[in-house]
Amino acid sequence: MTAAKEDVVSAEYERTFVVAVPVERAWKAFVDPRDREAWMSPPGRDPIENPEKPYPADGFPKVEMKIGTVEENRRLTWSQLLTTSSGSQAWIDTTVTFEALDTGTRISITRSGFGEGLEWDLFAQSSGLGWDDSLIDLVAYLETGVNVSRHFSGRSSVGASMEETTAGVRLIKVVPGGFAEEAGMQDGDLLISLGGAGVYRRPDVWFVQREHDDGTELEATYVRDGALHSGRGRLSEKNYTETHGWGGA
Amino acid sequence: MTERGETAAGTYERTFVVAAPVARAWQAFADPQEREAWMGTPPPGALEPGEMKLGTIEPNRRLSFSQRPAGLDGWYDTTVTFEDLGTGTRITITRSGFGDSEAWQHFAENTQRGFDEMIADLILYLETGVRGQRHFLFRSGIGATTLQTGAGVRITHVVPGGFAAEAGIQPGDLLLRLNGASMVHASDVGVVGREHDPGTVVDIEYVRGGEVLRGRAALSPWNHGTGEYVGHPGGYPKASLTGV
Repeated sequence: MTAAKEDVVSAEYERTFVVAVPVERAWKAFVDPRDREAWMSPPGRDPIENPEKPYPADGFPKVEMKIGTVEENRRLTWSQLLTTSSGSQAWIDTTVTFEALDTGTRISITRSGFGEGLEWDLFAQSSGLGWDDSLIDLVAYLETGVNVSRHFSGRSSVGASMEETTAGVRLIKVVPGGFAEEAGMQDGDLLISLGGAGVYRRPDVWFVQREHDDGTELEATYVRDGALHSGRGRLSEKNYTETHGWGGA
Repeated sequence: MTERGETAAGTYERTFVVAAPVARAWQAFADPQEREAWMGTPPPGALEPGEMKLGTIEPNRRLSFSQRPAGLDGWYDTTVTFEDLGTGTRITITRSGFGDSEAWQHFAENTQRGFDEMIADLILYLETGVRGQRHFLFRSGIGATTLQTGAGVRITHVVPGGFAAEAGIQPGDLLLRLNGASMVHASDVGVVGREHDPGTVVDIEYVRGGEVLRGRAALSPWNHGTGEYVGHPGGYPKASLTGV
């Protein structure tokens, strides 16, 4: 897959990649609910098949969904009414195009319509990083036939919402009583390491949240006011909403 | 704010803004002590130094150099440009000339990821004064080389007697889970290698021929035996840049 990576703070999302299956197979992976559960949704949470179930997990607000264009093997669009934790709502438009190549299918995805302001910027970043993961699951599923479902597999949480910056991962909102607070972190701190591993990007944090159950004690180092600090805490329970979750897996 | 480096077609380009005056940003590249603050110090003997030739040196504007990684044929070029924005400095880093061979592919992927990490440490250092030095924290490894693919992390070489070999892994296998955590990115291997000491026994899950297989073994020492396949990861320029 060759992917054009987007600007890390862009509110738009765009990816183009090639998957080594015929266009009909790639199309089906988007329109068949069983196929979608193999890469896009946690089991039983397909937002079209089970619109009454919160997506992607319990505790999320209901997602209203409208299907737009459906041109078989060519183009698919849909819109979702998404809600942030403070209740702000916006329709996010997704367009997927399919192009048959000799060697497979070129798929392009764009997502746009995120609202304005920091909360939406974070939401867009979480959503984009989450889609990066899900598209890797899609390619693995189509090319190996194995339902790998790696994205929604978090087991714990660091107890804070986060923003990825060029210097690393910044804590935006520390949840009372959670890991970050117990380790001494505050809003605005830059998280430098977890469990001895340097943290550069939000996916590094996600990996640690996938590796350890809640209650596991870990050391964290972080920067505040030009000084390096460290503390220990116990990982919080998995909580997609608190960590602003499409990406908090 | 920034664009992440592309890994395609033998080139790497990254542009980012750092909230520091251009003279300060230049110093972070040109002064050996300053460079060490963000490039970090590799463990003794961990990296075999390659060769290095300096090119253009225009203070506060442009720096270029060429490097030949140990064990690989040919040179690759790095150009760093500095632009005074008033509120900070825009830095653009371009690297080109990576070869086409499989060893060069590995080198390019590793050195680009490593450089992305060092750039985060550079920005952290210039904006907060803190030496994060998150890069050279490796303790253990999986005893195999990998390449990032559209489907995830794929094994390319397995070191005899290392973690991957003991866990039954072969070249071509797609990694799914390591120590219970789903793996998506090549950087996930680095997280495990920085969290755990060599000898720690962990589970691994991988796909071969449409089947999910599982293994369990002790993590290898970092980079044990993998360097021979890929040149040294990093092209560490510290010593050769002294005196710029």
